[in-house]
Amino acid sequence: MLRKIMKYEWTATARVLLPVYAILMLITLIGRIESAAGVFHSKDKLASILSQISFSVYVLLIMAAGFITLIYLLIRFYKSMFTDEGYLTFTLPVKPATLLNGKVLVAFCWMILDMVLVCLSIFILAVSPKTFAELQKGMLEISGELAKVGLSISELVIWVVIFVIVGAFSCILAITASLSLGQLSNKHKIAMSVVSYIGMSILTQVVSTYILSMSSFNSFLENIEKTGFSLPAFHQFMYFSLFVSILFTVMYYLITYFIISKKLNLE
Amino acid sequence: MTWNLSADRPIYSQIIERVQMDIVSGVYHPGDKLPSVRELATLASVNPNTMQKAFSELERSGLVHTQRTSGRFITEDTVMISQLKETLAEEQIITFFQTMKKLGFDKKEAAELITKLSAEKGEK
Amino acid sequence: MNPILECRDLHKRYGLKEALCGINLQIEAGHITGLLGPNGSGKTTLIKMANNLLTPSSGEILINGKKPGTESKQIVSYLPERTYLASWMKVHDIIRYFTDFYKDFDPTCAYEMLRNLQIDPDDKLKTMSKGTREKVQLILVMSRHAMLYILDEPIAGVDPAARDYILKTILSNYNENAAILISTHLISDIESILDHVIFLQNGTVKLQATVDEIRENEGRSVDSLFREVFRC
Repeated sequence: MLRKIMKYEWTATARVLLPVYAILMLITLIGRIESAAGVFHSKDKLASILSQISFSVYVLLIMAAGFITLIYLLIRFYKSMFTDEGYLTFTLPVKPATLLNGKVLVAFCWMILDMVLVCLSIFILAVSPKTFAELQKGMLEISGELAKVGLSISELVIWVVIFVIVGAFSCILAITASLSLGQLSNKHKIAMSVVSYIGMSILTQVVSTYILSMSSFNSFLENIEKTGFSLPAFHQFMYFSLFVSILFTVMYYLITYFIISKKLNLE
Repeated sequence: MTWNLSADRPIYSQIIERVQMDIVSGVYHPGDKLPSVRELATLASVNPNTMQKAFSELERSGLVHTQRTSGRFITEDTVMISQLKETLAEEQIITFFQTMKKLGFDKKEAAELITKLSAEKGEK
Repeated sequence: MNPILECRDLHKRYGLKEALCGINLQIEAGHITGLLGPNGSGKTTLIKMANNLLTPSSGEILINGKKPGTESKQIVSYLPERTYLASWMKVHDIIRYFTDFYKDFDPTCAYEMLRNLQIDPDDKLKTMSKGTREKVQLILVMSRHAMLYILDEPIAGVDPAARDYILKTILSNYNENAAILISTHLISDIESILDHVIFLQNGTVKLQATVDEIRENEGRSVDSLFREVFRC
């Protein structure tokens, strides 16, 4: 059942999001060609203006891609669960958990895809044999510095990946939880969703700050100047942050699950 | 077959009357095979249980009989059919007399009126 | 044999308001029942509960002996009063969707009914008129071999000719092992296909009888009785 839900969720979302990414990659390629043609380094006034415009458009597009993805997934979740379409979704012989999991997993895939494609796009545009060599040199330098404090690039990369994954789920589930809370209201569903989102964000901030303050992170930061970078403190901070992130992600999931199982308010 | 069913009487009684009329008037011939209850219900746009009730009653009265594997048939008992014809005709006449009474004619006057009209219109 | 739908002292409260106050009813297989009542009588609440879209405040509602849930959804085919299909989908897509999720869905049946009503399965829902969309929804619901069909206003938005077709479709899909529950305001149109009716008012069952009983005892149609009972 989960696979079926994901299949239809994918088909429904791909028809809107794939064109967006196609456009992104197209612009990337155009940019690459322009770059290869030396457009960006030309001293010609026209070319210079063109390159500036292209650059601005490109930056906007990258931001738009991420923004559109998030907004679209939000709208899709709301529409398919809490508007008239909800009558179809919730009368399927499928457990509410399966519905939620399917939609969240597909949303997660899109967010990761978005990030990957944006990075790829930047990479394609920015990297040439010359910059590649510089990049390699820079990496070796960083590696050296990190090794001095006991870290490696690969470890950092792993931390980044973990936080990106948890962050993506957290972001998605915070939205689903807000929308679920919002639909409880009869007349002001959207307003309530926004209020819920803000409320939960504030709550998250407060609680995580409190928890992190217990992780001696402050002293960790203060003491970097005096005693230098402390690896155990760094790890402790990382674990605490991860714990807080996961905690809230799970909380958002449970809120959403509880509401869609027991407190559905379709009109 | 358009069924003009009135809304204030049970449908099954109306179906029974209609079928009786059709048998007597020759729309259905003795021994004719009837469509299934479901088909008839869909044709007449009535509830199948209602149609079934009507036919159970018709079967009870003997106008219709079921043969195990072949389905439902109109009776071949022509004597029964003529008796039914008479009964239905009598009912019409009784109703006629009742209506005439409301209009102020007693039975004798009503009968005279019939004779008069029959002669006038050269009725068969 | 369990009744297909059963309510035992069913209550539903929204804050201080009581939408359903102690509903007791049973619907058996092989019957076509009309759920009749004015707006706000609790019909929609009852229907939503049968589909597990709402949970009872107290009391029970049972579908074939079990509480509404994932299992009951497999045997209940529900036609809501609104357009609940995704408008960007083509009819073909929706049929595939239903085939995928409902074991008892019969695509051949669906395509035949679409043909009879001259609806092109390649059309997208959003290009169709409201009446056509409603016909499509009804076709999908009736193409399932379910145990309980719940139809909320199946003929309201449809022209009289299509109404006849819809009523005949409901009748031809009738089978003695299933129950059909129709909630409607258009009583006179639908009265002849009903055998039972339930009058609901202010969250209570005011009357539960067969159509024949009403016509014999009251000497009038259900529609006429309804108008009297629910006179404004």
